[in-house]
Amino acid sequence: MKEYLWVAFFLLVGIAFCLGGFIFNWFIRSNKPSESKLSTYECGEKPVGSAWIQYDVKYYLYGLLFLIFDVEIVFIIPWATIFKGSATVTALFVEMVIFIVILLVGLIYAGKKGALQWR
Amino acid sequence: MEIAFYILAGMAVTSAILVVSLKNLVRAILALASLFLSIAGLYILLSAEFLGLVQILVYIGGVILLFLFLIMLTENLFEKNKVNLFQRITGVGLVLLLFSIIISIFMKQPFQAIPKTDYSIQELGKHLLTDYLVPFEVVSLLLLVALIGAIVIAKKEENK
Repeated sequence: MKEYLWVAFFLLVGIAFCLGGFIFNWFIRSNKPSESKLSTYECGEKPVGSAWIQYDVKYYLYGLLFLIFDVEIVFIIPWATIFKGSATVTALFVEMVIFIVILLVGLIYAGKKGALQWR
Repeated sequence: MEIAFYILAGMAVTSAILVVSLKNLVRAILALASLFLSIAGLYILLSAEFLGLVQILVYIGGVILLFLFLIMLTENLFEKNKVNLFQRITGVGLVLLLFSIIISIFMKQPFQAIPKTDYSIQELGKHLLTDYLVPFEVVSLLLLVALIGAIVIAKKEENK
């Protein structure tokens, strides 16, 4: 449990780093807003329409694929922690190969269906 | 320990209130990410390290991402769809019903402290790959089904 104090410490340092940047900027900046300065792209590009547009469904597909392989990693982590020094390394290896091959079928299916192609 | 619990619980409650009260959906989802993070902290505090890890990996990494994509897929909900009175009444009614059900269950069955078990990730891995090997491989099949289903639905949507 003690080692999680370091995690909390890094979390706090990270938050303080972001907030500190904002607050420090807020103190030392000059504040002279004009219309062109407040536009989305200050370099002169004029934004067209609202920022809230309907994105293509293929972004969602990539998100779903990511989530599924993310869940796969959750099952690989406990396996990886016991692999080294285990008495039944071969059995463990075969079990994980079966697990991954089943999911590999899905990846091949995705490739064949063109789900991984950007069109 | 006690202080850590109160900090995390306070964070969780604050972000939960923000999730339901913020008008901007993207901001509400970022508050949801902070809620998930504080719950992951609570899990680790209860020495359920693996659960905390999964909470961060899957919920903050994956589910928040899916929510963000879902919002990006919809059009601006707030300008077009105004909530009418009927929807308001049904919404409040359903929430009250759910609330009363949850409270009544907790009144019947008070909270009990779980006996402290030292379940490390190694222990979990050993059980998963020996005693629970078949469910473990079935999970792989389940993920495969989810993968194929997602592709089929998204492809159908694309062809429209």
